[in-house]
Parts: sequence; C-alpha cells; structure tokens
Amino acid sequence: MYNLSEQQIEYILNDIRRNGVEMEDLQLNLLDHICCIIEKNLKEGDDFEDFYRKTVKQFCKHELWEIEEETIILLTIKNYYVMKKSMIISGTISVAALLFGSFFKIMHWPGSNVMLLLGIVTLSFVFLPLLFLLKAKEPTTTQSKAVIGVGTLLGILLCISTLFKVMHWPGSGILWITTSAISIFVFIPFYFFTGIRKAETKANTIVTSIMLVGGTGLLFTLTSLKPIRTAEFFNFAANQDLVATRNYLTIQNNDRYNLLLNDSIEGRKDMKELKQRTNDLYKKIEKIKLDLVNDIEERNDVEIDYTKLFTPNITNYDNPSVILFNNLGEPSAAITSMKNDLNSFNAFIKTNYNKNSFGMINTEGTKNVNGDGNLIPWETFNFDRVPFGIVIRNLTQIQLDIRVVEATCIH
Amino acid sequence: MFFSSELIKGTLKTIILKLLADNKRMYGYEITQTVKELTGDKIQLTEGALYPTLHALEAEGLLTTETEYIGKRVRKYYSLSKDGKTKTLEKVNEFADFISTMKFLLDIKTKTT
Repeated sequence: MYNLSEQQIEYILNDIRRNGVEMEDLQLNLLDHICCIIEKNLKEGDDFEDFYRKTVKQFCKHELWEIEEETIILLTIKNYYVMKKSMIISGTISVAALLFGSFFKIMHWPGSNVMLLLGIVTLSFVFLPLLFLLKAKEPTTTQSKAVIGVGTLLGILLCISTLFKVMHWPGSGILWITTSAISIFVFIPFYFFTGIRKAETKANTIVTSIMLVGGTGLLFTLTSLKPIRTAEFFNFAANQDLVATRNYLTIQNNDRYNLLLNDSIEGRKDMKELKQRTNDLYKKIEKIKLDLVNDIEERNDVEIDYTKLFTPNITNYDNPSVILFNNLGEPSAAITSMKNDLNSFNAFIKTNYNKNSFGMINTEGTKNVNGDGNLIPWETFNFDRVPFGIVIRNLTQIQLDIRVVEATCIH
Repeated sequence: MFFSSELIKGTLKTIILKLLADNKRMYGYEITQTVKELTGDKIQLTEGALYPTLHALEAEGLLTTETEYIGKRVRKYYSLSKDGKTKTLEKVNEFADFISTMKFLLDIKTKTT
C-alpha cells in the first residue's frame, strides 16, 4: 500500500478545487476516493502526479466540475418535484377557498371574506409565482420566458384588483385600470408578436389573442367605464339625505317652540309635553343607532359620524339581526320599547291634536306582496335580515317621521 | 464486457440503496469496489455518476451520513435512513417486476421477428 504524504493530499485537494468543484462535501468525497485508489494501486517508486492525472481522467468525460454540475442538476430536480407538489397543493387550496368563499358570500354566511382573502392571497402569492418558476425552468427562449413573466404579473394584478373590489378597499378602480392597461398595451401585443412568428403557434396565438382582447375589454367595461356606485352607495346616500332633512326639521321645530313657548299666551302644557316626548323618542332612536354602529363597527363613539358609515359592513345582513333579535327571532328589549313608545306617542298625538292615522307614525305590519300575502310584522320588516345600512336608514326615517308629525302639530 | 452507462444510469439509485441495506454503512470508494467485485467487473460505477447520486439521495432524506477522519482527510460514510429502508424495498421490488416484464416483452419480440 502506497503511503500518501500530507503535501500530496494537499496537492490533490487543491487540484480538485482548481478544477471547479466548489461544494465542500463533494471535494472531501472526491479527495478520499482518489486517495483510496492511489493508496491501493500506486506502487512505491511510481510517478505520483502521472498516476493521479490518469485516475482523475476516468472519473468523468472531460473535467471534474462536471460531477458538481451533475450533482446540482440532480438536487434541483428534487427541488422541482417539491415545487410542483407545492404548486398543486396551493392551487387546490386557493380554488377550494375561492369556491366556498363565493358560495358563502352569495348566501350571506359569515366567513366568506376570510376565505376569499385566503384564496386570492394563495393564488397570487404562492401558486402563480411557483407556476412561473416552473415554466421558466423549461428550456424555452428568453422571449417566451418574458411572456410568461408578464403573464404571471398580470395574473397577480388581476387577483389583487378583484380582492380590493370585493373587500371595498380604496384604490380598486386604479388597480383595475392599471391591470387592463398592462393587459391591452403590454401583455397582449407582446404575446401576439412572440407567438405569430412561429408557424406552429401561429393559429393558436391569433385565437387566444382575440379572446384575451375580448376578455380584457369586457372586464374594462364592467369595472371601469361604469362608475363604482352600487346599490349600497345609493342606500348610503339616501340615508345622508334623510339625516339632512331630519336635522333641518329639528332646527325648524325648535325655533317654532321658542317662538310659541316664549309667548306663554295660553297654558301650553301640551306643547311642552310634545316637545319633551318628541325629543326623548328622537334621542332614544339615536341611541339605538349609536349602539348598533359601535357594536358592528367596533367603535366607542359617543355620537354617530354619518360621514363614516360607508364601510363594507353596510351590506352585512347578519350582525343587525343578531343584535336586535334573539335566537327565537323575537325583537330585543330596545326594539320592543321603541315600538311601545311610538304607539304611546301616537296615542298622545291623537288625543291632543286630533290627528288621523295618516298624521301619525306607522307601526303596523306590511303586506307581503310577493309571498302568501300575510302581514310581515313591523319589527321584522324594518330590522330583521335587513342590511346594516338599511337598518340605519329605517331608523333615521322614523326620526324624520317624528319630526314631521311634530311639525304638523305646532305649525 | 461491461454494461453501458445508459443502462446503469436508471438503476444506480437501486444499486446504492440495496448495497447500503446489506452493508449498514459504506463510503464512496467502497461502493464502487464492492459493485465491481460482486459483478465480476461487469458493472463499473463511474465517480461522475456515483457522487451526484449519493448527494441527491442524501438531499431526499433517504441516506444519513457520518464523517470520520482518516489521517488528515475526511471520509464520509453513508447509511440508510428510516425512509431509505422502505424506499429500498420499493425500488428493489419495482426493479424485479421491471426485469420480468422486460424479459416477457423481449421474448415476444424475438419470436415475432
């Protein structure tokens, strides 16, 4: 057995490194391997360097670094499978989350927003980037890779725009316009001119490009040309109008009282009571609204800021019902007490001001025109399974009605 | 005669796993020598194929390693992990099945031509 000196071992290690093997693990493996061969086969007196060269030559086709390259390729192939698996798993998760999220959203069940958020985030930040990396690894031209890259970016943008839109986050309009613009002016031309040059992709490219232009156009018309004003927005605006009229009447009535009560001509006892009753009822309803807003919006306000009411909760059907009704569907104490006060207010008006039912606040049920024709109770019609925004609007309407009745009595 | 590298390429993982199953722990040079002896020089593993495969198997978690100092240099011993043991069985069975299928397939071909 040949005895290798320390210098010879050092020489071999340096030569391995010089030949482009950079992984330390591999360097040490090769060093031990070469040493074993030399120790076993080299005879005392033979030329060490010459034998070493001949041994290494048999290792691979040309140079030692090929072993490292092969190792890296094998390790990345391993990565490739992990990436592919993650891609499939993330894809499945996002599709499931989006499906259930949309279904829950349609049914107005809780949890839909969380699922949609999860679905879109997974889709745009895990699935699409992985898809891009895997596609980019395939041996294609740089241009095709660029097309895939821009396509991925566009996909991510599309997902995020949808998310912003669904969540009513600010900036969704700008995002949609940016996405459509990138699609029309960058992606589609780029895709078209890359694909049309090759005979084998020509027909496919034309068809797909037409579909892409059509799709982008439709999305653009749906989202950008139409101002982003929905039923929720109009409802919100209606409430604002009611609030304005309500406030105006409150001031007008107050001025009228000041005029009448300061005269103190007759014993305006009933008028003082009217003022007291209307204001109490008005404040009571404002308190119900304030509690509802604080509860649903998780605020601690002492007064409602009507300009800040246009939030995603405005379409929420569940929360008002949960707060204003118990499990059996019976109205809460606040609602019942409000209705009793309204009825007693009506009785007071009838006795003192001789009004017929048209001059009073309606607390009767409403005929169900679409269903069996039975009466829908007043509480149910106004507050149960009614979106938060409409509940607020209905309460404002009652406040306004009270002020109107009051006005007819004192003018 | 010895077998072409194309033939060996597809079976290298199976060979390494099976050898480690029979010998507990081995280092690179030992693997090449054992294969050479067992096959009467018919299968000669090249270093250029052996080490990349060993590293890949380690990265897949099928092999565990321990290092020992031999004088000034380091020797890396490979042995099967728990996953590696199940994978070996799988691979060997798969290959046995493959051999019988190939035999069947090639027999038919020789008969028809």
